[in-house]
Amino acid sequence: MTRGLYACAVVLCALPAGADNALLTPPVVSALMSIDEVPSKAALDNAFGAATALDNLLNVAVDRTVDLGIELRAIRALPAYCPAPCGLGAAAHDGLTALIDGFSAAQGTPQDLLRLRAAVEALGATRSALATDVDELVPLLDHASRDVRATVARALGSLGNSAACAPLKAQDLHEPSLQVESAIHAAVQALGRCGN
Amino acid sequence: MLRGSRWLWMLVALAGCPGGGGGIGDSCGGNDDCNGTLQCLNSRCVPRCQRAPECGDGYSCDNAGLCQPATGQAGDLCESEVDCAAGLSCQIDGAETDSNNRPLEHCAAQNATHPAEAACDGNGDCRNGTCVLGHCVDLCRQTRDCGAGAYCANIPSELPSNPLFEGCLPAQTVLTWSIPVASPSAEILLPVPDIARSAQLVMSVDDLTQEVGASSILSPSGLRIYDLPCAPSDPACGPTRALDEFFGNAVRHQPAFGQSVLTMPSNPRGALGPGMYRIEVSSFLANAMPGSAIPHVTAVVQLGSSGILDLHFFFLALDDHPCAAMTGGATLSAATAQSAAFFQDDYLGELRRVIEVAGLSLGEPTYETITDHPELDGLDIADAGSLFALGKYPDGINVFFVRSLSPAGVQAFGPNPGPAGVAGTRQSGIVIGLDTLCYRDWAAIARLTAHELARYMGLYHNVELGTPQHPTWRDPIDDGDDSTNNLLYFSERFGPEAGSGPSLGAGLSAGQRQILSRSAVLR
Repeated sequence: MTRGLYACAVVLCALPAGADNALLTPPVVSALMSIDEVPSKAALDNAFGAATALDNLLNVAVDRTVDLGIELRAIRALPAYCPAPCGLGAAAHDGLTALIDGFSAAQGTPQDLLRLRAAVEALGATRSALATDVDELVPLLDHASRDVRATVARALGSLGNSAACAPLKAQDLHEPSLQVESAIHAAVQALGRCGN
Repeated sequence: MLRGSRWLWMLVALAGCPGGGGGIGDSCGGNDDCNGTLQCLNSRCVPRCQRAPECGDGYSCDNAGLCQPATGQAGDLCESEVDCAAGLSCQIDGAETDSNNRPLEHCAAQNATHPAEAACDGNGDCRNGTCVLGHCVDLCRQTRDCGAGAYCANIPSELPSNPLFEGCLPAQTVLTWSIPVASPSAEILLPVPDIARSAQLVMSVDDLTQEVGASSILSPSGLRIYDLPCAPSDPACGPTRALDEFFGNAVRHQPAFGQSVLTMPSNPRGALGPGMYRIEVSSFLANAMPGSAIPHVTAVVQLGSSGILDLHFFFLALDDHPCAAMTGGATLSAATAQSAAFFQDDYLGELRRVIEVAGLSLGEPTYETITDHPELDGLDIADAGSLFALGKYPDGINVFFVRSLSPAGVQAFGPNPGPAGVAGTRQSGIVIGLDTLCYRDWAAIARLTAHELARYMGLYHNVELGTPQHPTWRDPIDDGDDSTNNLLYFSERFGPEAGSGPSLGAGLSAGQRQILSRSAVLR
């Protein structure tokens, strides 16, 4: 089984079943509860063990029994395990798209919104420039939550594919939230090749 | 004899002198004419003095509380403002020093400029001819020579070898002044008086693509107490050695893009001066090469405080927030924060408790809502400078609540350390992401806030994420511990393993409390 398939399996099979909480040793918990910084890859490798860090992060990322703060940081840490060119077939990348699919379809609790935003933000941080990733995110520009829409706009800007220009501009025409409008404008500027 | 006495009594009566029992405002011919708690000054009984300025220009106040006229004339040697007759002031007027290496001072005509304690750029701006720490200072021999609330302090002069002289400084205040810099890299002098509790430099450049900060610091004794760590991007250095050097400095500091703050001391062991610190301030390009931007430098010296921390709360547009269950469905704003129990009791109550563990107290907070910056409602910490620039209060600390922080999982963020006494800079505040309320209670938010406030005030993580692999990567305070219960633990992981009781998640060592008490953000 490839890592990508493994990641999908983790999401499809493990949601909402729990991962092995033996993973959450004190060093792991400390690293994934940093208050004011994002744990580096080196720190996570030290906490989990470099050979298993990614798989363990993916497990924690889908474990609804762990503390939500830990879960969010695990999701957000995944891009660190997707070196450029990060894309289809990479476990971290495919895990993130699977997470987005799963969280998009979830009940929409406040906690689900946070999970979704973390995954969207993390996918943007991969800077994959993949059109498929743009396609993954664009439908979420219509999400009911302005916080999700703003996160999606920023992520589209970070992905770096100008295929996002048109949907961003289309959203801008009827976007009611000034916060999201600002995020759209920043994303269009970041993409740089959107034209007028 | 009798006839003489009659004349004497008649004179006394004519003069209106009351004999030894004169009250305030009664006429008198000498101190004996006034009651024991008063003195005769300018032919009137007035209260005995405690400080010379109560007597007026040209007087000292002696041990008995009596005003004594000064006799020093222009050109006479003096040691204190009170040695010189009215219209004259005691001034340092050359580079000569006496046998005790004190600058020689002489009585000279006062300038028609600012009085003591007024802001100044040079000696000519001050009536009494001495501008130091950006403020006009009267020379003194003892605290009695100074006005109420001031202290006769040892202050380093800018003469060669920086001899100390004695000048009147407010005993409890924060002095802030600009230090001009004319080139991208320059040595500046930071005078630190003996009553200083902490000193700070706020360094900034207009070009935000360049870094700015100190590249070296020499203590008054000539000891090098800070060297710029090597650049992690330099192959000869690397990230690990760069951090080793950062943590190895006696004074902790790191240049940063746009603005950085240097605060001394970093630990109680290395108490401040007194004396002149020589600090090389520079701008740097992204690859640690010399920069081209000219730094702006503001010096801040704390001379004592009452231990009160003023907080100024700002709320971005937090309506329709996903975690509104924790605000009873209400929108957190300046209006609701001032009355809602969740904020006043659950949050501020816990924050007060944690601050009290630190030996400090909170002042009366201020509250404002910011609705005209939607681009900052959900904040990427890379843009935090734009938010902190809205921190308009120079005193205390500006605390911003935003909808969310990105990267996801970051709960709070702020400069370490932050600027004191300077408003509207790209580091003038801390920020809390309200998202955290979806999985933490208000008490936890209060502890996160306290953690970030303490970092703003000059404390560092007691343990860093990398400490297990690099034992020197930790705070510089001798009595620090590795407890997860410490307020400065890098992670919010505290709980049963950290013990229980009123200091849960808020533990501080005596050394950490001392650094906090020295912070220039305190009133």
